Amino acid sequence: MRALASKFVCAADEVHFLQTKSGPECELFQKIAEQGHYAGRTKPTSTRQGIYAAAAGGTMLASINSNSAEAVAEMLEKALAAWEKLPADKRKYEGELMIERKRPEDKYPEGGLILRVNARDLPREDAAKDWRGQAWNQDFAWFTKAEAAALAAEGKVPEKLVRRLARHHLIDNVRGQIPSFSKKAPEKVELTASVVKREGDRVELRYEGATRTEEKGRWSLDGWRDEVQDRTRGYEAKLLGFATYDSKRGRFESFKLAAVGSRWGGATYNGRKDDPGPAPMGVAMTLAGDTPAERVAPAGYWSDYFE
Amino acid sequence: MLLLLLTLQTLDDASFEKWYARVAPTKEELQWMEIPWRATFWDAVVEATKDDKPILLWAMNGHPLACT
Repeated sequence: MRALASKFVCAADEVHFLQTKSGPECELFQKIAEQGHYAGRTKPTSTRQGIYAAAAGGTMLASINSNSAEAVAEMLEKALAAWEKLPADKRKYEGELMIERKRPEDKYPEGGLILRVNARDLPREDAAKDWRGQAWNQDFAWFTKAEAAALAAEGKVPEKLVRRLARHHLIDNVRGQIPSFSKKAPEKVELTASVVKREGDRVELRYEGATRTEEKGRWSLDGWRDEVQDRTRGYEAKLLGFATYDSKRGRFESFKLAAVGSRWGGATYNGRKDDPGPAPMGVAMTLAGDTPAERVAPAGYWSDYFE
Repeated sequence: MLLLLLTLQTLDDASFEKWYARVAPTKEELQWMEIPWRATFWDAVVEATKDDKPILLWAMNGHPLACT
């Protein structure tokens, strides 16, 4: 698959943005998508999710919505064959390449603390036997440079930063995305940093704390397949972590934080209709790298993320 | 509640790495990250135009490189 992928310029992007907004980027995607596997579809949903192979000029070469490696490989082979036959004047984007865009990635906190956040169900006897028993998800957490310094200070971590974790990242997205908790949902947000060792400009830190977040509201549990009803969802966890911070360079050299606790309820697309809990779930956070793929905004970016 | 109490009691310094490893993705689970993904469709449009290559776009509800 890597060999096949190397023949393409590979990108990933959020489809709701691409298929509903305007501007050259979105309009080009819409043109390509309407030649693809969900062209014209409005029921059961109008999503255009999938994997598309296309020319920058707007010709779709092949597309599929599948998580089968074999099916995707076959699609890519078909796309390459179509590419070879595509006239040169159809291959390139003919409009202006330097366009103005407003993406959340524009607000990437340079010099701050960027964490990769993963969530997964913890072992239990009645775990699902199919993919749901192995599911995990990921996200990114963003902290500005000033917030990173606050996280590295001995004592109570500022409540605002712990609430950000509780609302957006200590959350059950194991089987699928889920809206962030509302601002008032966190009931307990405690995290304290203690210094384990100082060596010149480097300080080793230990974090310990706990959070409890619960929200009542009205939503479905299975997207369009389910009724909107009064629901409750939440997550309660103990937090423990270790980090190393270089005060001269003003950045973390290492960071690992684990949350172990219990989740309950569900919301819309997180796949818990058959598994409302309470059940054990864990979250693990570590430093993200600096590749383009790791500069994607947190899923909760549009939900008052920095407030 | 008993489940929660049992779970909470076992996260400590001695068990931290065990719990962390249970949640964090394995190297095999992260193989897909070895592909050099551009984080936006337009980045690929620009590069594909300059390099005369086709685009492979993975588009999902929720950014595929973050939370879907």
